[in-house]
Amino acid sequence: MSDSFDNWTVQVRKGLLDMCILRALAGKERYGYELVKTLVDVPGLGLTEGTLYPLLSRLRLQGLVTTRLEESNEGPARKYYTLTAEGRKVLTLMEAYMDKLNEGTRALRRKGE
Amino acid sequence: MTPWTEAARAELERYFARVRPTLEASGADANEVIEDLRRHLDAEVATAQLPVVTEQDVQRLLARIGAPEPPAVEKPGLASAEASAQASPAAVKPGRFVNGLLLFAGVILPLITLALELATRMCAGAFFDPLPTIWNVVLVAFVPVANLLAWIAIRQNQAGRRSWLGWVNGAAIGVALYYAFLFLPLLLPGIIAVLFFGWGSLPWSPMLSLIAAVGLRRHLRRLGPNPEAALPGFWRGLGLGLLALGLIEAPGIATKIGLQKAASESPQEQRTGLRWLRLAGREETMLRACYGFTRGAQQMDIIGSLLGGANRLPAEKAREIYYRVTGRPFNSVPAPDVRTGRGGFADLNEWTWDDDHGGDKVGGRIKGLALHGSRLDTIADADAAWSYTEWTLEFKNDGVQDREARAQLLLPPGGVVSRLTLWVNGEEREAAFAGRSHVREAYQKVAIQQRRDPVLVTTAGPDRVLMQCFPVPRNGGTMKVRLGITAPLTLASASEGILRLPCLLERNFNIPEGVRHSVWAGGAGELKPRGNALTAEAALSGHSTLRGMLSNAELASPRGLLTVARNPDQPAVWTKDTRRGNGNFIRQTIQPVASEPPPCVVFVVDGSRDMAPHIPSLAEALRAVGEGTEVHVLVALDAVVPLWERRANQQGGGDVATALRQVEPQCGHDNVHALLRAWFLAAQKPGSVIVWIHTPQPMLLDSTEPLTQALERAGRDAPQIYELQVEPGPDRILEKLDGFARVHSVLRKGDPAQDLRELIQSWRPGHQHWTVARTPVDSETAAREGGAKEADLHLARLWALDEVRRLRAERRPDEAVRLAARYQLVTPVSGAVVLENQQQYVQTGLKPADPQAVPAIPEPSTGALVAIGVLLCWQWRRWQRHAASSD
Repeated sequence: MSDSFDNWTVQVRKGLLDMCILRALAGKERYGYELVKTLVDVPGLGLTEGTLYPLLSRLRLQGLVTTRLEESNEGPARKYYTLTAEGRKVLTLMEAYMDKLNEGTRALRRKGE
Repeated sequence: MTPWTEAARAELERYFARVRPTLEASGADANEVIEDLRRHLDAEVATAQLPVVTEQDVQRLLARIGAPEPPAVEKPGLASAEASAQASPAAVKPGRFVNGLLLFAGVILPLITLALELATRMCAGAFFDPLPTIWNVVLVAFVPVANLLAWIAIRQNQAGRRSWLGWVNGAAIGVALYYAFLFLPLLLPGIIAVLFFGWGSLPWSPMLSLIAAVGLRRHLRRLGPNPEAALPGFWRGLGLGLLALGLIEAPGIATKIGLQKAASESPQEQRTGLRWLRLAGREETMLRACYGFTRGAQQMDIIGSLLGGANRLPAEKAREIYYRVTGRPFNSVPAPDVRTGRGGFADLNEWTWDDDHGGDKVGGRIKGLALHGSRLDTIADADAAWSYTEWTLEFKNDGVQDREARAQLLLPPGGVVSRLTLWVNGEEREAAFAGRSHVREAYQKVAIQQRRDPVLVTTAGPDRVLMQCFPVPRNGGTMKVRLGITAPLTLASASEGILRLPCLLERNFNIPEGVRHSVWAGGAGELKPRGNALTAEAALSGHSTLRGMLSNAELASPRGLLTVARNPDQPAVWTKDTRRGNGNFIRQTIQPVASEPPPCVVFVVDGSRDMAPHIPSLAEALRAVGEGTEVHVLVALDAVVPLWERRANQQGGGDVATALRQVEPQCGHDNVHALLRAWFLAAQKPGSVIVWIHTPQPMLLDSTEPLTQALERAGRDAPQIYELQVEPGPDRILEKLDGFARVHSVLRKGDPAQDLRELIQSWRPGHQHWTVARTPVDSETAAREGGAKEADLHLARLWALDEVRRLRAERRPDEAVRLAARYQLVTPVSGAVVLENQQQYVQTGLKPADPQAVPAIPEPSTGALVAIGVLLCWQWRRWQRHAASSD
């Protein structure tokens, strides 16, 4: 039973990761380390650096984010990530879809009660 | 920077080596992620302020970071990047070989092909023009550019450009598809050329770039996270590419369709085609068609084949349509830079056809052939009312092929070519005069078959001759010919004659800037030029000399007119007619004749474009029509438009003028039908007159047989036709009216309206004009009667010309030919040809003129001209002295 739940959460988490990253970048551009620190605190998301960076790379390849490198006085150079117009559009779609899905599941629950 | 131990580094690299396959399978850029992780670790180390990074530190940090998660296996989509990346080979870039192939076929080869075609116009010259406009160049260049962008994006995994590159690629495929189709007929010759000559792959360029564009699209599609997802923009991009091509090609294709329609057998189709071409025809396309296409070019032009099928447009028909559409002869404008199947590539090796070689048409301009020098020497005997002009023309050919120089010359009114000379190896050779077909046959035999040195002159309408000589040697060679022209003076009054210098109406050679006609005119009595291009020089008492340089346009304008003062009390002159043996004389008398107003005047007004600037002033000139005269005005447009048909009112031709002013000439129109209709109108009243006011009509658009039939069968009181050509140039209708005594050319002395006004006024009651009668007499006493003065043999030549006309009108052609040959005259029934040597004359059954018996300046046997000789010697001495003093 526990295994089934774990598998289910992994699947749900994977589906939400892209949206969470895009949402984190929607307000402002962030560098990788900062992004990690922002997202690791999201409860239930279970994001690690090992998961985040491949995702960011894929999002860049998909044209949803762009990157730039900037030297930093506090340590190594920082790679900043910014949401593209396309990324913003996809985020809107994702969130709309999520809202609809949540509403549907809530309605289903109400009916079940 | 915190130092790392060797073990720490090794531990990190082991980690990366372990996770790399997972990263690659996830669809991420493994190198990028590894770099990000390094950067992240550095940041962690810096935050933790470690003094040194050990293997344990690395293990601890990596444990926290965790290994990259394996890709989720879910349905394709944006949120399932991992799954799609794993399932797809998209991240696998094309191999090095395929990469190179795509770059070569899609980018390098098309660019090389484009550059070569632009530089050499190879395809345009040999087959068809793939780049007729700058927009075609832009579109063709777009294909390798689009391919290059796609190639770079694939190479650099720029998935963000996937969408718009999909559109660009679609458009490139559209353009490449069209050009691949265009070059289909050349693919096989391309392979053969590669096999046999080692080169010739350029025709394959559009097809290869199309294949490359399709290949690049496949890789572009894999570039994204989901290789199964369609790459956007294929159909719409392709449509855009084809639409752009359509917009660019539409005028050319519409012109080709219009040309086909205009050349159709159906009159309705012809009218539609002409309307189409006048509205939207591309002049460049029409002009190229005028220079014809080789068979190879026709076979390779797939678009032309689709539009025209087997009925390819002959150059002659295209020239006719060009005139109908533009109102200009095709050879009055510079030839197109690229003449498909004629120029362009052919020009690379200077090899071009001359379709009119040896024929009876002047044809198009020939590159490299030019007038090198021109001199006109003319003498006038005012009292005897004749002039003799020698026109020496030198041609130069800078091309690499021997060329034939051809020109139509306008002679002085009533003039006749009485001498023809060709320089062969520096020596003068005189012409043989014989029947027209005989001399042409001889010319063609020598010029075309033996390719030796002949020159031929035949008539080409009233006061017009066609001169052709071959070969003007290649590589800068020259050829020099001289025409002697005997002509009567036009008598403006009893005390003034008008001499009009001959000029060029049509030519197939160029006249370089700076080449002008050097004119010398001399004679007894006062000579006056029109304008200031010719200036008087000192001469013996009672004689005058003019000299100057005239441009070709000036020579054809009223500046080519000279007025000669004559003794009004010298109405008769005579000469010994040595051509008919002793005891034969020709007596010429000049008599005033009172004009009789014609009962009916039919004005035929050409509605062609070049008439436009003349219409208002010509309309004003019509006011001179006398009251009560029946006036008809017919305008020759696509159909004959009867503009006016009634008697002139109290204001003379005032209302006619108002009506004519409404005419708006445009395009080019056939005048034959209008002339024929005018004949039917005028022939109903004896003594009527037709005044044909027209621009040059360089193409014969319809048969002139009904018109020539009317002239041949005309009775004594049949209409007289006065033609007034407003601009210099060839007129094919006039050429067909060659030799008809009822056709008169109005001497152009200035503004066409003024010349028309003078013509109309010359019919007014009480107006006098002068007739010149030349009659043979059989004794010197009879010839001298009334104090007649002895004149030159030219009188006899002019009499013979009149006789030839009479014999021809009486349908006695053989006698006419014999007479013309005896007096060495070029007439409608006879011509002159100079061959290279005696053997050729014998072979062709011709006998050249005796050099001692040809006219010259001064005429050797004419005592009256000895004075001119003395004058020339005196002038020459004077120049010598002047030159010596200058030194």
